[in-house]
Amino acid sequence: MKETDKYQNSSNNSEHLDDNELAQYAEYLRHEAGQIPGKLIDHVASCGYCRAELMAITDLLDTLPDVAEEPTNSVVGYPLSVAGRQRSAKLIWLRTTAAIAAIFFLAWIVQRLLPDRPMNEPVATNTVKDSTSIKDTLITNPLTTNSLTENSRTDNPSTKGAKLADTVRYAAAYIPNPAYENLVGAKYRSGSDPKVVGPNPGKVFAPGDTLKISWVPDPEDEYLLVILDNKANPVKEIKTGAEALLAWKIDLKPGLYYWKLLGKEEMWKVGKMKIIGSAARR
Amino acid sequence: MLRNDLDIKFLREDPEKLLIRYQPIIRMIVKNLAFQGYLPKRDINDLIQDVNRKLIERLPRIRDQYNYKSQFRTYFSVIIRNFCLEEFRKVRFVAEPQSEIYEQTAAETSTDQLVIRQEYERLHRALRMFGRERPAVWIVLRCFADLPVTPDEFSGYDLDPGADIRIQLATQVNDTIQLQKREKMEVLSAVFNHLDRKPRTADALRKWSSSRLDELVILMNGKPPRSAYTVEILYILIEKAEFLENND
Repeated sequence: MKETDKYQNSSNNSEHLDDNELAQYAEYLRHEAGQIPGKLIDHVASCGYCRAELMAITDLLDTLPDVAEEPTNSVVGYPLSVAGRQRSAKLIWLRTTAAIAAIFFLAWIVQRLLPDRPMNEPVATNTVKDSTSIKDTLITNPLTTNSLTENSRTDNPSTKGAKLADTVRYAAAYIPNPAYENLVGAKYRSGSDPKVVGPNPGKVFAPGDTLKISWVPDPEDEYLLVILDNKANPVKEIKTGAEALLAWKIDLKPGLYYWKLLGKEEMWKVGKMKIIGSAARR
Repeated sequence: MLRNDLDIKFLREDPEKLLIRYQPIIRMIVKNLAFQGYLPKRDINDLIQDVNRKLIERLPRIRDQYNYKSQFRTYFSVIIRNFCLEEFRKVRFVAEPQSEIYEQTAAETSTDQLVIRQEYERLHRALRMFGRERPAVWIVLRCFADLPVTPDEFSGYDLDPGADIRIQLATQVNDTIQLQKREKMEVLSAVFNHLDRKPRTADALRKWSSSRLDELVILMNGKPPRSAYTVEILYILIEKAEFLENND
C-alpha cells in the first residue's frame, strides 16, 4: 500500500491500495479473480477513499474494449499472472482440441472432394463426371508443369501430402482478388472514354486462345494492356499504338487473370479471364 | 497465446507494440473521463497524446512495478486512468455532465432492463467493498425499501446464529414492512445486537446506517457523478432488478 495525503476525499487511513492492489481488487469485484488477501478486503472495508477509487475503476473497466488475443506458440520466460495461468490451461486445452478437430475435418473434406493424384502429376478438375473419364479431364498443374501426361494414378501414401499441397496451390491460382474484382466492369468517366470492349468476365480461355480487346482510340493517347495474376502481380505488358483492336495469343499457365487497359494517364478498363489447361476443355 | 501472456510478452520485449495494442483502450479511458466532465471534449486528442508520451517515458517503471497478481490489462488501465487524472489536474475541470441522465423517458425498453441489471450488479459490487458490514448494509437497505429479507441474508456473520434463529430474525425484520422508519430501527437494532453480540442503540444504528447508505449512493453515482441516485432510487433499483430476475 502506498502513502498518500493528496486527496480531499481521503478516509482517516494514511495508506491506500497501490495500483497493483487496486487492479487485483477490481478483478475480485468483477469476478475475474478468486480470493484476494484478507488485508486488502479489510482495508477496503474501512477506507472510503479506496472504495470510491475501486468503484470508479470497475466502472471504467466495464466500458473498455477488449485487446486482441493472438495465437502463437512462443514461450514467455517470465511469470504469468495467477488469473492468466488459471485460464490458460483450460483455454489452451480447448483450443488445441478444436484445432485438431478442424484439421481432421478439413482433411476429410479435401479427401472427399479430390481424386487421388501423385505428386507432379496432372491435377484433376472438378469437371470429372465419372471415374472412367478421369484421363480425359486431366489438366496441367499451373505451378509445376504444362505438360499433360497420361500416367496412371498411384496410391503411394508418401505422395498424399504433396498431392494436397499441389491441389491447394492449384486452387490458390483461381482465388479472386478482391481489389480487382471491384474494378471489373466498373464504369469510367464518360468524357473521353474509349469504350473498351473485352471478353465477358466469365469467359474461360485455354493457352493458345486469343484475347481480343477493342476500343475507340484517341490519336493522342497511347495504350498499354497489362495482364495480372490473381495476386495482382503483372505477368505481361503489351504496348499498342493507335490501333482499335488488340488480339493477343494467350501463353499463360492456368489460373485466374485480370487485364487492364491503360492510357497515358488513365486506366480505362479492367476485365478478367479464367485460363484452364487445354486438356480440360477437350 | 492468451491476451494476458501476450501483453506481458510485449511489456518485456516490445513496449512499442504494447502501446499500439492499447491505443483503443487509452482512447476509451480518456474519452470516458472526458465525458464524465473532467475536461472539455475538444481536448481529447491532445490528452491522448499526452498520456501516450507519459506512458512511453514511464513504461520501464511500469514494467518493474507490475506484480503479475492481476491481469495486465486491468493494471495498465489503472495506470492509464491515473495518468489521465494527473493530466486533468493541470487543466481546469469543466463540468459537462451527461445530460442523458436527466433525459430518460418513462417507457421501459429492453435497453432499460439491461441498464437495470448492470446497475444492480454495480450495487452488489459496491456492497462487497463493505467487507464484514456487507450483510448488515444489505439488510438495512432491504428493510428500508420494504423488501422482504430471507434467512440466508443473515449468514456471513462471524458468529453464525444457526438456521432456526436466522428464520426468526428474518421474520422479525419482515414484520416491519410498512412500519415507520423509527420502528424499523428498533427492530433492526435488536436483530443486529443479537448477531453482533454487542449492544447498539437504535440511534447508533440510525447514524451508522445513514452513513453507509449515503456512501452507497455516492459510490453508485460515481466520481465525478455519472448518475443521480438517491437512497430512494436505490430501493426502486433493487425492486425492479429483482422483478426482472423473478420473471426471467
